[in-house]
Amino acid sequence: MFDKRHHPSVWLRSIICAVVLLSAPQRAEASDWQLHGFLSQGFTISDGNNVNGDSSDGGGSFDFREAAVNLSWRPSPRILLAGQVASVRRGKVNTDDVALDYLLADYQAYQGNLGRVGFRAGKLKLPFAFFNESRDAVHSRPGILMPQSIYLDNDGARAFGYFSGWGAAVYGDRYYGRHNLAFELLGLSEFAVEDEAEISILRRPASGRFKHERGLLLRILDDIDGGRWRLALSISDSLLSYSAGNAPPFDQSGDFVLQQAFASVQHNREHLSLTAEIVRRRIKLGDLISHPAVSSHTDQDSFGFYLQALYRLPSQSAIFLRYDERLREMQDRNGHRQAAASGLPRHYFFGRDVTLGGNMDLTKHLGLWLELHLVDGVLWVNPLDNPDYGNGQAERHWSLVTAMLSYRF
Amino acid sequence: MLTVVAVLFISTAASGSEAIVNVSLQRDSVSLALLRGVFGMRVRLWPDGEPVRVFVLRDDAPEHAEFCKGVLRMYPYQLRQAWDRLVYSGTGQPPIEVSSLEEMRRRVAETRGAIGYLPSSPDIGQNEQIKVLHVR
Repeated sequence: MFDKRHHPSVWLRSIICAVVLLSAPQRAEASDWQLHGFLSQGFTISDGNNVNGDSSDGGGSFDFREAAVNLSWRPSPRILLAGQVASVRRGKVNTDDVALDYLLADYQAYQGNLGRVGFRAGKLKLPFAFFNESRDAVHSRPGILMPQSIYLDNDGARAFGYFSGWGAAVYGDRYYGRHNLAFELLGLSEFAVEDEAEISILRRPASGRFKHERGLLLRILDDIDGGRWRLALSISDSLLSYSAGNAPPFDQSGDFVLQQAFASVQHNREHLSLTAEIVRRRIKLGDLISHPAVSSHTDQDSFGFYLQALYRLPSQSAIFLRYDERLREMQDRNGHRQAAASGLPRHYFFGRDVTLGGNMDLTKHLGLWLELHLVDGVLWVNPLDNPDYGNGQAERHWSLVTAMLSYRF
Repeated sequence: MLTVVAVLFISTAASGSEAIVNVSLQRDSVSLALLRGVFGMRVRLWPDGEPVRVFVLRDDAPEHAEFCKGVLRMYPYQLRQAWDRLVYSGTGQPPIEVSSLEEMRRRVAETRGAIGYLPSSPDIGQNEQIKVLHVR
């Protein structure tokens, strides 16, 4: 039932078992158990390129579904045990197998008048930027399609372990005048990268296999005046390995490094929220050597950002406007240099997306979302949903309308 | 003129909201930062060791908005976003939702470590099991 390729190390399992066994219930109440979840159905219609299924063939695509159920239990005041299983279908990018999303034991070691410190272990959601750890549900992320610059939705982020991973974390809060400074430091162990992700990352099938060996992630977040201003810095450093086949993209096995840095800022007023996030990603190929047939696989220094203004209307509804930009190479904003090197059109190396969106709560449990995207560039168009992508046929200027109905409890 | 001033004064005094806690709690006051942490569901036990149990009304209840804005100096949507982040990352639980002020009063009175809120009123202290938690 669960994704069998995610192997927690033995010590992590031991910690979780120990915490469960040692946490004898004290003053347990029914409310110490909580069950939540959601079921969302999306519709996408586009011209030019496909997103979430065959969205550009005239009738649109219903091939976007998201569902998750989570259970949490507080066996004693300091301890929280929680797990979530999810099933997501996004065209050919994510298949709808049921997968373990998170499963963790959390121990709050210290709580004082000025702050707290705690530990977590298990399969943890990755806390980077503002929304990564809560991106599963449409009502806790910025829209149906997230800003592709930061969150890599359409690249199959879930399949390459961008949502969660096995590891351990230490976290804390420190109250400091008007500030609540929060930090999380997370160490990740090894896991395999799924096939869909390989194609998304490389833009072509890989003959060998990728594996995430280990990683480190740190986020520092400052909530000022109860969140009127929110500032966050997140950095991550991951070591990945590639076991080569005998064909492109790489001729021999080796390790490579992915480094990411995010800066996030948000201003919240009663009706208006302004959000900006920025990312720089570096891929250092190290001892991986590209196959002679593939000249474009060199070190990458990519960049992205988005700006979003959201306005809350009466009756639990809101509208937003967003500009999102993602560049494959930071120093080649319009793709001229990469186009010359690869033979692909230059719009393959950037994605600029103007989004107008809105949402409305129909009931306490049921919500409706709607978005119009006007896109220039195809950097984040997924080759799995677009068979002509690899031969340079993807259309530069394209648009999509997407809607989502979501039930939550 | 005096009557108008008096009426204004009384109506101002009558509005507003107070945090209330179960009498088991050893303290009578709290910093705004810790109180925000409690209602943000990031504080699982009081510094004296009692487990924190938070009771709230529905997001769209006027008394909830009054408490958020008047006492926490936040907006209801900010709390909801904070709770959603916890639920979908497995790092916390949302508060217990009650359906009326009467239920709020009763649940806080009968639960050790409980915290909730009520509209400001001299009647709050009449229940011996609850007390007002002042914000420093």
